[in-house]
Amino acid sequence: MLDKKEIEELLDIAQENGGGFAELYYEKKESDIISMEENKIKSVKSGDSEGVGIRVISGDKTGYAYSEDLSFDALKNTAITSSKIAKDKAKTSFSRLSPKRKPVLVAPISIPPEEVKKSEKVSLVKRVNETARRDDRIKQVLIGYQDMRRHFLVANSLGLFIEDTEIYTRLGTQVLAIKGNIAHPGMAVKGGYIGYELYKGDVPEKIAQEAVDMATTMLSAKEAPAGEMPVVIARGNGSVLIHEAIGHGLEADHIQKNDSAYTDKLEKLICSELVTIVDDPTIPYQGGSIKIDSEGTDATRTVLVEKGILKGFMYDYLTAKKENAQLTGNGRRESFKHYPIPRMTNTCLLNGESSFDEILKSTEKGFYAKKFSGGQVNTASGDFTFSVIEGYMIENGKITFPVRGATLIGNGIEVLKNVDMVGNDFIFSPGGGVCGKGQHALVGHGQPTIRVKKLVVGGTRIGS
Amino acid sequence: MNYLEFAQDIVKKALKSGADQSEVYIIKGKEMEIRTAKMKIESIKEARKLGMGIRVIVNKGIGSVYTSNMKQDNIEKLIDESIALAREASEDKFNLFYKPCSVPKEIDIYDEKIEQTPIEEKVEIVRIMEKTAFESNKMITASNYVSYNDETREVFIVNSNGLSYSYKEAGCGIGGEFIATKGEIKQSGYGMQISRSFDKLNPCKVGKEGAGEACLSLGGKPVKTGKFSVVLKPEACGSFLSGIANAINGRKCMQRNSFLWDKQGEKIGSDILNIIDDGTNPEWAGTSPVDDEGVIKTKREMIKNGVLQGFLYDIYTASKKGITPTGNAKRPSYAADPMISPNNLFVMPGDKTPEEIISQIDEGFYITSTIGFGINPITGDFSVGACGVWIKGGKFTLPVAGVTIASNMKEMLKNIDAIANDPKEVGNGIISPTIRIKEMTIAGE
Repeated sequence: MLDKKEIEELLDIAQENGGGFAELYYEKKESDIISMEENKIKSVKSGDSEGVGIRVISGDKTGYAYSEDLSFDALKNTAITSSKIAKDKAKTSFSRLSPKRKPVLVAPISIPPEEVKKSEKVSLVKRVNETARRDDRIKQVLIGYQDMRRHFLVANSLGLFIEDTEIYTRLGTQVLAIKGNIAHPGMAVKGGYIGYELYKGDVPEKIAQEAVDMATTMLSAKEAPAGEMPVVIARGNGSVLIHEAIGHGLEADHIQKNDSAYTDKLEKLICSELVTIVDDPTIPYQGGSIKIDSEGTDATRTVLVEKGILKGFMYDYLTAKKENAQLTGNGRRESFKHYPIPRMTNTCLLNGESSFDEILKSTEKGFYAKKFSGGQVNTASGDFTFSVIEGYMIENGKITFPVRGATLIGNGIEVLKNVDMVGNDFIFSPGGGVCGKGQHALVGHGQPTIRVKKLVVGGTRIGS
Repeated sequence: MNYLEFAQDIVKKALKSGADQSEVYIIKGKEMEIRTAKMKIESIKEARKLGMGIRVIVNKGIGSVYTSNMKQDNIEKLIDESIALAREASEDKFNLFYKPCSVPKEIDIYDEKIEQTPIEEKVEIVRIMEKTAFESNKMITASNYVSYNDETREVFIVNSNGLSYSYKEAGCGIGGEFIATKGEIKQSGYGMQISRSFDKLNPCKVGKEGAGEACLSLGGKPVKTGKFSVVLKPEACGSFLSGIANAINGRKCMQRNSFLWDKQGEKIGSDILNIIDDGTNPEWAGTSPVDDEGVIKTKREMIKNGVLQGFLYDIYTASKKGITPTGNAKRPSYAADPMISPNNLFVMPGDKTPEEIISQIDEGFYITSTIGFGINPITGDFSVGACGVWIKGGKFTLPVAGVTIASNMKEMLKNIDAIANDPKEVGNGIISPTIRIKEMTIAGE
C-alpha cells in the first residue's frame, strides 16, 4: 500500500490551496456474511472494499474526496479535488509525518474470524436454527452471522501517522412464533469488537432460546395501555434510550449548531442526581470498543453527566478545534466514503444502589419495557420515540402479563429528571447496535434497571 | 474500459471454473454532496465509485463475493472463492439467474446537467434554500444541515443466461433541517425534494417548507389521550407507506412476516385507496429499464379500490411461486445481495386540496412529522411519535408534540376517508399525497 513518502506528497497536494489541515485515511474492510432462512443456508458471501479518503479543513469548511481506484494518479486527483475547498495559499504548508505507530493493544482477540473456516461459521448458524425450531410454535427462523476486519491508517498534516486493525463479529436471530391467528417475533443477538471466541460453548443455543422465549411469551400479550405511567426500563437493552435520547444531544456538532436541547447547560444540574453517564470505548469487547477513532485520536473515557450535572460533550477534530476543546476520540466514520463526525462509542448509564426487586416492589402500577426494537430522537427538541417489542404490565410490585404494540414517547431531559430509581445490575446491551446519523457507526450501550416516575406509553388501550 | 465486455469475460471464466450459472453486477458512478451553514460552505464531498458483485450457482447453492478491486489479477481468486462459498450454501432449486425474454425499452433517466453543472451553481442552490428558510420566519435561528446531493451512475448486469445490459442514470436532491426557537423551546422542521431533473429543483419552496414546519409545531404540547381524525402530510405518510411496502414484499409474505400475507384478492383498505408500483415513470428515483437482477420493470396495480391485487417478487420468490418476477429486485450497493423493494409506490391522488380535507374536520390532528419505526410487520400494530398542529372547527389551532398515534395498519387503511391532490416524492420509493384517517388513538397526557 501507500508508503510514507507517497502519503506526504498527497497531503502536500491536498494543501496546495492552503487550508491548514489535511488528512489521508486509507481503509481495507474484509467481511464474511452468512444468512439462513426457511431451513436453508441462503447466502454465503465474502468481500472486501478498499479506498482512500482525503480531507482538507479550511476554517469551518471541509473538502472531502474519496477514491476506490488506488493508482497513484487517481489518488493525486482525489487530493486535488479535496484541495479546492481552500482559497488561502498563504497557509500552504508541507507535511512531515512522524514514524508510523499503532495503538497499545490491551484487549487481544483470541480467535480472529478470518482464521475460522467458512464451514465452521455455517455450522454455527445452523445450530441456532436447530435449537430455535425445537419449539413447535416457532414457524420461521432467520439467522445472520457477520464478521468484519477493518484495517485503517490515518495520516495528517500535523504529522500524525497511525494504523490499527479492528475485528467485529455479530450473530443474531429473529424467530416467529405462531399460535392460531396470533403471531409474534422474538429476537436475540450477540456481538461486538470481539473475535470468534464469543461463540464458544452453548452461546448459539442460548441466543436461539432467548429469541424463542421472547416470541412465545409475547403470544399471550394483551393490547398495550395508552397514557402516562411509571415505567421501569430493563438493564442492558433498555440503554438504547440513553444512547438516543441523551447521547445524540451531547455530540458536539449538534451543540455547536445550537440545535441541541443541551446547548448552554454545561456544569448545570440537568437531571436527577441519580444519573451518571459516560462514553467509554476503553471497556473492551463491546459494540463500540475502539482503540483509536477514525481520526487517529486515542480512545478516551468521557464523563457526560455526573450525578445529574452536565460535564462534557463528544468531539471530533473539527468541532474540538472550533472551541479549543480537548479531543475526546469520538471522530468516527462508517468507511473511507465518509468524513468523520462526532459519534458515540460505548455509552453507559452507571450503576446506582437499588436492586431490581426493590425497583419492582416499589412500583404499584406501571409498565416494564424489557426490549426495544428501535428508537428515534429529534435532537433539537430532545423528543424521542421508542418501540417496545417486549413489554409487561407491573401491578402491585409484580410483573403480571405481557403487552404488545407499546411505544414510549418523551423528552430526553424530562425523562432523566424523572428517573427516581437506578439499579445496581449494570450490563451492556448484548450485541450493541448500529447507529445511523447520515452514516452508520457500530456502538455499544449499557445500563442497570432504571425507573422513570412518569412517561407516556403510546398504546391503543385507553383507561384500565 | 468497456465494463460490459469485462463482465462478460468474468461470467464465462466462472462457468469454466465450475459454476453452473454466473452473474456479474458492476456499478460505476460519481457522487457529490454540498452542505452550507450560515450561508457559507460547510463541506463539499466528491467521489468516484466503482465496484463489483459476482454471484455463482453451484449445485443449486448461491455463493457471492464483492470487491472494489477490479484488477485482472484479483479476478481468478474471486471466482474461485465464490464457487467455494456456493458449495457451503444449501441446495435450493429456486436459485436461478434471469433468462431475458425481450429487450428492455430505454428510459430517459439521465439528465447530463446534473453531472455537468459547475459546483458554484450547486452551492448557490443550497444558499438560496438556507436564505429563504431564515428569511421566511424570524423564529428560525439555526439549521442542523442544508444540503444538495447528486449521483450519476452506470449499472452493468451480465449473466450466463444471455443477459448483458447496461444503463446510465442520474438523480439529485436538496434538503434542510431548520430549527425554530422561542425562549428555551426548540423545534426542527424538514424540507426536501428529490428530482431526476436539475432544473426542477426548487430551493425556495423547500426552504420555506422546512422553516414553516419548524414554526408550525414550535412549543407543541401533548393533547389529551383519545380518538380523533388525523391528517398526514406526504412526508408523514412515508413511514406508513414503507410499512405497506414491507407488507407486500413477496418474500416476507411467504414467510408470514406480514400482516397482508394471506390477503391477496381481499378488501384491505377504503374504496378510495389505489396504489400502484410504477418502475417506468422517468420522473421518479426508483425508475430504470431493468431491476438489479435484469428483469424489465413494469407498472402494476397493487391496491385497487381497496382490494389487494398482489405482491412484489424477485426471481427467487417468483420461481418458488411459479409466476413471473415483477422487476422488484434491488441492490443498495454492489456489495449487497438483491432484495425485494418497491420501485415507486404511488398513492393515486384524489381531487380535493389538502386545505379542503382539513377544513372538513371538526376536531383532529394535522401531522407534519412522525418519529419512530413502530410498525409490527406481523400484526400491523403500530405506535409512533408525532408532532404537528391541532385542528378545531376546520382550522389550525395549537401546536402539538410529545404524543403518539397508535392503531393497526389494517384498521388505518380501512379508515382512510380522504386523499388530497398533492402527490410528492418523499424518498424510499414512495410518492404520496396528503391522506386523512377517520379515527386513530392519540396518546398524550
